[in-house]
Amino acid sequence: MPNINDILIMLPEFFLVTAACILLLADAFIKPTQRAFLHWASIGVLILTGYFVLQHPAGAVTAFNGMFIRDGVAEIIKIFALLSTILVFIYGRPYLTDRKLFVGEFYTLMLFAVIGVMLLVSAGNLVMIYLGLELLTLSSYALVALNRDSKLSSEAAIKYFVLGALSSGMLLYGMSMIYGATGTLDLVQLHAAVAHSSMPHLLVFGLVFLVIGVAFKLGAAPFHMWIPDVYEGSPTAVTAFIGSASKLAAFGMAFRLLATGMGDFSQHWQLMLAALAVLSLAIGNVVAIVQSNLKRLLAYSTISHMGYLLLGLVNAGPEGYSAAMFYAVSYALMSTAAFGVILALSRAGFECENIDDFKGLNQRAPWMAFLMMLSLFSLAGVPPLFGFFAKLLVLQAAIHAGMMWLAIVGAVFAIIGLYYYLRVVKVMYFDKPEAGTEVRIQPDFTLRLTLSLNALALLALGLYWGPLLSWCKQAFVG
Amino acid sequence: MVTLPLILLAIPSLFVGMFTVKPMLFGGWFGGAVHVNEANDVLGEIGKEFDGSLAMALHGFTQLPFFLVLAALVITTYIYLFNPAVADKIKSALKPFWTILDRRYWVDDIYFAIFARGGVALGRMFWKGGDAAVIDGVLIDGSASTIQRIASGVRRLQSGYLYHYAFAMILGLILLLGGYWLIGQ
Amino acid sequence: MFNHLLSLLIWLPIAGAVPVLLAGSGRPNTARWLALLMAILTFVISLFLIPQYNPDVTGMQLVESHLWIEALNVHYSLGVDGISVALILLTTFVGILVIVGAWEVIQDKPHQYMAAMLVLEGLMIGVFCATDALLFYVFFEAMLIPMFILIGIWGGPRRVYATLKFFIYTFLGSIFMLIGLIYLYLKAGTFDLHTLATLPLTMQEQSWLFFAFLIAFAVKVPMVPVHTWLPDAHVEAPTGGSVVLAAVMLKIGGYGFLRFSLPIVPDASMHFAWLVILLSLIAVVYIGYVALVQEDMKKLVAYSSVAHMGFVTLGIFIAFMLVREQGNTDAARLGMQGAMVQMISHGFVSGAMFSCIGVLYDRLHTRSIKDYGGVINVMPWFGFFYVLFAMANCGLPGTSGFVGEFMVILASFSANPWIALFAAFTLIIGAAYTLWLVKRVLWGDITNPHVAEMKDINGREVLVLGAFAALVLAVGIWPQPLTHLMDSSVAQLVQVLAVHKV
Repeated sequence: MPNINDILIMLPEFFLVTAACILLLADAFIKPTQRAFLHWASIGVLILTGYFVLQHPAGAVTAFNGMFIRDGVAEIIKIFALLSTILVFIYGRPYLTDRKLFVGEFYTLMLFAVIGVMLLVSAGNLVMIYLGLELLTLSSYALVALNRDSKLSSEAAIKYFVLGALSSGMLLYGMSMIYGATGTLDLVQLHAAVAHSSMPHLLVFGLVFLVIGVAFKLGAAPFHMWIPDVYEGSPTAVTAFIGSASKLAAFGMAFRLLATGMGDFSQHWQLMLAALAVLSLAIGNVVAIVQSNLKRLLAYSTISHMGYLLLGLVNAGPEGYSAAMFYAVSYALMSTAAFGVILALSRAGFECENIDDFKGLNQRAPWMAFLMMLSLFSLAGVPPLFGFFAKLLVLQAAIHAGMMWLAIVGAVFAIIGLYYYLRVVKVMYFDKPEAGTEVRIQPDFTLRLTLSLNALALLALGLYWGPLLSWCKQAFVG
Repeated sequence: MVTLPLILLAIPSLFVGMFTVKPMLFGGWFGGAVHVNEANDVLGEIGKEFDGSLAMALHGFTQLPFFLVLAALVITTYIYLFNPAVADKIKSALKPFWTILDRRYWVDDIYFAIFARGGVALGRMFWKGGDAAVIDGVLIDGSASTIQRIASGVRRLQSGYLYHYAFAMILGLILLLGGYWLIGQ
Repeated sequence: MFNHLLSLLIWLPIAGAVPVLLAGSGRPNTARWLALLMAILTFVISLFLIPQYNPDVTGMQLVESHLWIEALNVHYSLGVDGISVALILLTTFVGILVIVGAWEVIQDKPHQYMAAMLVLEGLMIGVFCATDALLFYVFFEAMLIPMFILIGIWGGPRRVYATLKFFIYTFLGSIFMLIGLIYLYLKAGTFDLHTLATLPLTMQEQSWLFFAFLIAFAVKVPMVPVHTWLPDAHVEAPTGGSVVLAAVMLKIGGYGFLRFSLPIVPDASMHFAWLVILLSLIAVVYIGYVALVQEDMKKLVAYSSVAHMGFVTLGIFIAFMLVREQGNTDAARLGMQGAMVQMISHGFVSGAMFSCIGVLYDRLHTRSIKDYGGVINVMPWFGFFYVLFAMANCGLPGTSGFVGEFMVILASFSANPWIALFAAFTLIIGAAYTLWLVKRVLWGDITNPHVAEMKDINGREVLVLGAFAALVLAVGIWPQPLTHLMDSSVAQLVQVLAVHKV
C-alpha cells in the first residue's frame, strides 16, 4: 500500500509525469499558433521539477520498498539532466520551427524521456533500471525519427532501435542471470548477496551482459557504432539531447548497476571497463580526425569522452565515481554548448553541420566563433576551460587506482585528439569565408543569451569549479 | 672631410710619446693594475738605463733598427722611383718565395675551404639530414601521416550496415567473455 | 594594493583585454590606444616590484594564498623570488614594445590582436608567479590558446602548419608533466611547490618524474631534438608574436626546470645532468651549424635562439655537477647566475632582432636573405641598431649577450674544460652566422631595386629598437643591479642542489 511518504519522496517524478500527460492532452486541443505556450510550459515544468528535486531530505531515502532511491547522486544527475533538457528546448525551438517540426510531440516525448532518466538514476531495483531505461530509449527512438520525411533520420532511428533492442535484450539476459544467481532484484540486497554468492561464475557471466548494456548506452567501443549514424541523422535538437541528458542517464545507470548493485564484484568489472575505455579512447580520437561533418565529429568525440568517463569508473571508489560524475556533468554542458552553436547557425534549408560551413566564422560572426572556440577547447581539455579539470579528475582517479598505464594511454590519445578540435578552430579563425555563402544567426534572443551563458559557463566553471566538485564528492560519502 | 681630423691627430702623435714614455713605462702610471714577476721584468731592466725621452730618442739613431730602416728606405726608393724593372727581376728569380708570401702561406685559403665551406656543408647536412629529414620528416610529419592513414582505415569499419554494427556488438560480447575466461585461468 | 600586487599584475592585462575586444573592428584606434594604456599600466605597476621585493631576503615574497579547490587542496597561491621578478619585468616591458611595434603593421582585426597579446601577457606573468603546481600548469597551458590564435590569424603563408605543430608539440610535452604532477599530488596530498620540494621520493620515482618534467620543459626551451617547432612557429608568426615567443615564452622552459626539476627531483636531476648538458652542447654546436646555412632571416634567428637557450640549460645543470661532485658552490652560483642573465639578455636581444627583421619585412615583404643587400646605404639608422643587436647576439663584451655566456663558460671550465670548449664554440659559430647575416643584408651593393626605395626607420620603430638597445647596453655594461636582484634566489637554488632526497 503506497503511503504518502513514498509519494512525497517521488514528488518530482510524479509531478513531471502528471504535467507531461496534461501537456500531451493540451497539445491536442490548442491551435498550432498557440504552440509557443507548450514551449514555455514545458520549460516551466522542468524548472519546477528541478525545484522539487532540490527539496530533498537529508541523506538517502528509499521509497516503495527500495525500488526508488533518492540520494545525492540521483539529485545531481537529475538537476543537470533537467538543465540540459531546458537548454535543448531553448536551442531547438527555432531549428524545429524552420523545419516544420515544431510539434507538441517533441516536447512531450522529451519530457517522457526525462522521466525515464529520473527513474533510471533513482532506480533501486533491476526492474526499475530496465523501466527507466526503456522509457528513455523508446522516447529517444521516436524523437530521432521525428522528421519522418528525412531518409537520413529514419535510417538513424532504425539503427538506433535495432541496436538498442539488441542491447536491451542483452541487459535483460544479464539481469536474469544475476537474479538466478542471487535470488534478488533489489540493488542493495544484490550488493550483499554478491559478496557471499555460491555461483560467482554465473554472476560474472551476467555481469558481462550488464556491462554491455551500460556500454551501449554510454557509447563505449565496440558498442559505439550507433553513435555516429544517430548523431548525424537525428535532427540536431534531438542530437543535443542524446548527447547530454542521455549520457548523464548512462552514467547513472552505470553507477547503480555496477557500484550500488555489483559493487563487490568491482575487481571483475574494473578490467572490463578498462578494456572498453582504451578502445573508446582509441577509436573515438582516431576516427574523428577524418570527419568532415561536425555532428559526426562530435559523435566520435563523444565516444572518446566516454572513454575518459570510464577511466573514472575504473577507480571503483568514491573518488572515481565523483570524478566520473563530474565528467558526465561537464560533458553535458560542453555538448549542449557545441550543439547549441550548430543550432544557432542553422536555418531553413541549411544545416550548419559541415566543418566547411564554419569557414571564416570569426570574420562574420566573431561572438559565435568565440563561443564555439570555448566549447571546442573545453572538449579538447585545454586549461583554463572546464573540460580540462574534468580530465584532471578522471586521470587522477585512474592513477590512484594503480592504473598508471591507463592514464598514460588517456594522455597520449588526448594529444592525438587535440588535432580535430584545433582543426575546427582553425577553420573558424584562420580560413577565409566561403564566397557566396552567408552566415545568419537565429534571431531568437533567448537562444543567444542562453547559449552565451552556457559557453561562458565553461570558462567561468573552469576558473571556479570547487563547489561543483564538492557537491559531487558529497554524494558519494558514506 | 677627414683631412682636418687627420691633421689634428698627426700633430700630437708626433709628440705624445715624448711626454708619456717616462710615467707610463717606467713610472707608476698603472699603479697596482699591472703586476710583473721579478724574473720577467724586462721593462724594469730597461728602466735602469733610462735617462729621459730626449736621450732615448738620440740613442735610437745610433742603433741597428734605425740603420735597417734607412737601408730599406734607400732600396725601395731606388727600385720603385727609379728602376722598377729590378722588382720584376727579383720576383721572377725568387718566384716560389714570392708566391708563398703573396698567397700568405695559403692560410686564408685553407681556413676558407675547411672551416667556412666545410662549415656550410656541415650545416646543410645537419639541417637537411637532421632537422628536416629525421626530426621533422620521420618523427613529426611521419607520425602525423601515420595517424592519418590509420584513421582513414579505421573509419571504414563504420560501414553503415546495421548488421555489421550488430555483429560488432556480438564480437565485443565474445571478446569480453573470452577475455574474462582467459584471465580467470 | 601591495598585498595583491601579483594578482593585479596577472589580471589587469587579462581584464584589460575585454574593453579592447569590445572596441570592435569599427574602432581600431580606440583598441590600439586602450591596449597600449593597459600595457603601460601593467609595466608601471610591475616596476613596484623592485622596491617591494627585498633582494637580501631568501624565500618567496609578496606571497598570496587563497584556497581555490577545497576538494583537491589546490590553492591560488602566488609568490616571487628574484628570478621571477626579473622575468616578470621582462614580460611587462616586452608587452609594451610588442603593442607599439604592431601599431600600423596589424591592419586586420587589430582589436583581436591586441586583446590576444594582453591576455597572453597576463597568463605569462601568472606562470612566473604561481607557487602551486596545478595553478602553474593551468597558466602554462592556457598560454597556448592566445599564441595559437596569434600565429594562425596574423601569421605567414605556412601559419596553419606552424601553429598546429606548436600547439600539439607543446601540449604533448606538458600532458606527461600533468601525469607526473598528479602522481606527486597523490603522494603528497597537495600541489604546493614548497611542500613538494620537501617530499621524499625514491630514486625510481624521481627518475620517472624527472623525465616527465624534462619532456615538458625540453619542448618549451626548446632543446634538441624537440626543437623543430620553433623555427616554423617563429618564421610564420607575426613580428609581435615572434618577439613574445622568443623573449618570454622560451624562458618559461628554463624557469620550469628551476621550479620543478631542481627542487622536487634533485637526485634524478643530478643523475641525468649529463644528458641535459650533452643536449645543451649539441644545441650549441649542431644548431649553430644549422643556423649558418639558413636562407630565411627569421629562421636563422630562430635557430640562434635555440643555441642561446642551450646556454641556459647548460648553466643550470652544470651547477649541479659543480655542487655535487666538487662542492664548488661559488662556481655553481656563477653558472646559475650566468643562466639567469642569459635568459634576460636573450629576451632583449632576440626580441630586438625579431623587431629588426620585422622592420625589413614591413618594407619588402620578404624574409629571404638574398633579396636584401646594401640596406645600410638607404637605412643607416636601422643599420646602427641592427649591427648593435647582431653584436649582442654574438656575445660581444659591453652588450648583455656577453655577460651570461661568459659566466656560464667560466663555470663550465671549473667543471670540465671540454664542456667549456664546446660551449665556447658558440662564440665562433655565433659570430659566423650573425655576422654573415649582417654582411649579406646590410653591406655590399644594392642588387634589388626595391631595396633602394626603402625608407629608414620611423619614430615608432626607433622607440621600440631604442628601448631594446638601451637595455642591451645597460645590462651589458652594468649587470650588477640584475645580478644583485637574483643573487639570493640563485644562492638558495644552489643550496637546494645539494639536498639529497634519496
